Amino acid sequence: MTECKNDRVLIVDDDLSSAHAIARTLKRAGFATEIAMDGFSAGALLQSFVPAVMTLDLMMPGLNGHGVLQYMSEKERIGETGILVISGMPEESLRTALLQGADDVLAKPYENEFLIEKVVRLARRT
Amino acid sequence: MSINTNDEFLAKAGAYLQNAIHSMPLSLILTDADDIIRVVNRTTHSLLGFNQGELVGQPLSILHVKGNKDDLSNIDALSNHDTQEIHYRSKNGDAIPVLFTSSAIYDDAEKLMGIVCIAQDLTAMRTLETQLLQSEKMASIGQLAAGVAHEINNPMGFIYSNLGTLSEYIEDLTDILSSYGDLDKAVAAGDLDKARAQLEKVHAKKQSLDLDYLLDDIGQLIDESREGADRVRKIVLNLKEFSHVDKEEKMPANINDGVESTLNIVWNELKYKADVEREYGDIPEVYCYIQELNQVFMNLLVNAAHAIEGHGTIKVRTYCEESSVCVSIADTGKGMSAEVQKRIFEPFYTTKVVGEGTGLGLSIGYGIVVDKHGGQLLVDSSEGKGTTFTIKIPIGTV
Repeated sequence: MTECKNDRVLIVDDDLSSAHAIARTLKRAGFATEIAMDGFSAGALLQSFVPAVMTLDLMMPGLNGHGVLQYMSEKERIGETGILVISGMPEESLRTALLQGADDVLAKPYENEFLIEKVVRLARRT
Repeated sequence: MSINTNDEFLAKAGAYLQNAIHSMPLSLILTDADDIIRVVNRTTHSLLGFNQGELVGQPLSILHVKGNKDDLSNIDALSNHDTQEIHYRSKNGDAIPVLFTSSAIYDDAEKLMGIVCIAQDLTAMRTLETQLLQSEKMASIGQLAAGVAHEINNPMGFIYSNLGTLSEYIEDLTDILSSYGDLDKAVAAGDLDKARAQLEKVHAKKQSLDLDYLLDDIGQLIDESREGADRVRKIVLNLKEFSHVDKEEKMPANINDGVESTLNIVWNELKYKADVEREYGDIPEVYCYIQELNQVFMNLLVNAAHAIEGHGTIKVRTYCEESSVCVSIADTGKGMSAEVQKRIFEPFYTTKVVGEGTGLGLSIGYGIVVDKHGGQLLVDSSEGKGTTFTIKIPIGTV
């Protein structure tokens, strides 16, 4: 369905219901998903596989989304994973996320088709 | 006054005194030694809405409002009463805020004759203060708005997404049901070959649409969406409760409930900064302005979160101590120097950057706790270790 070489997406969100909603949508679009509930677990999972896309929440306990972006910008981008920030924070925070190296942003609440469109675009790029 | 006889003097002096009493811009009430009202001036009548003569002969306690520090039937307390804010009960039952003082009237032989009560109407001043409190409260809610929006956007995000997915699930289920319909027709027509072929199609469709997963997920999708809707409902409810203005008179309230609903409102400010420990004691209800106390709790909780650099702990405790209910809010933040501690209750004093604080939170909190509740707002802070604020509210008369 996705016509992408890599169909794996890492969903980073501390709210399991949010993560499940994203996973449902992406599964129907043909992606295989994994969920990490904070920045540190995301970092650990990134050691074990290279997703085509990572969706990233901004507000999380421990290492938050901004922290993850900072960390990833300092490191060699792991396997060119595309980063889509998905957050209910104000636009200002989303703009900051783009400056910190996010490839794209999506404000909550969102339409599923926009989520799929953005993830597919990032996945095809890799 | 031209006076010819002693009687004339007394008659004129009496009328003069009476006019003076009625012209006083303050409420004046005189009682006898049994606390029965004997004299009431015109200002009192217009303040409380009683007609002339209605109060005379009644006990003074007819004007008592629950939550006043002293009962208005306590002659000892009234004999030498501090000037303080209390409420008078008006004819239609409203609590009227007044600045009250009273003292004993003695005759020449030092025998108690009664009590003189003077009261000044504070309604206009209270209205202004309430407006100030309300605007400070709204300003602090405004500062929390981004956080509250996030708390609402999160569940709205997945509810919205789930509804989209659910409508696709229903399309799939309809698709499978309609292929069962074709199977029905073939069976009804007795065409077994066609029926068998149709059955294959049904199975293939179930597999391609991953029916097992779909049926499994649909329940979870609905449960999670309901739970999300409930989260939004609670946030709106808490906000509504919080922005509500107190009634003029103190009402009995459970401080634990107030602390808990305030914690829910500021949750988004706290949860990523600190572990919040609650230790709610078994405390009685107290006569208080609970919304105003909630405003104090909110300011202290947000301050605690702001004081924490990185991640810390905020401990909220309620307990009884002598005749007070106490709430302590302790953080493991950066603490305050002695110089800062001296100034924290000054209006407009702030250590926060522009836009992060009004500089009014603690000074208004002090007014609410100390002036309006006769309580105490105590601070204990050490630099680098953290700060504890303790609010003590007297349980008060019932």
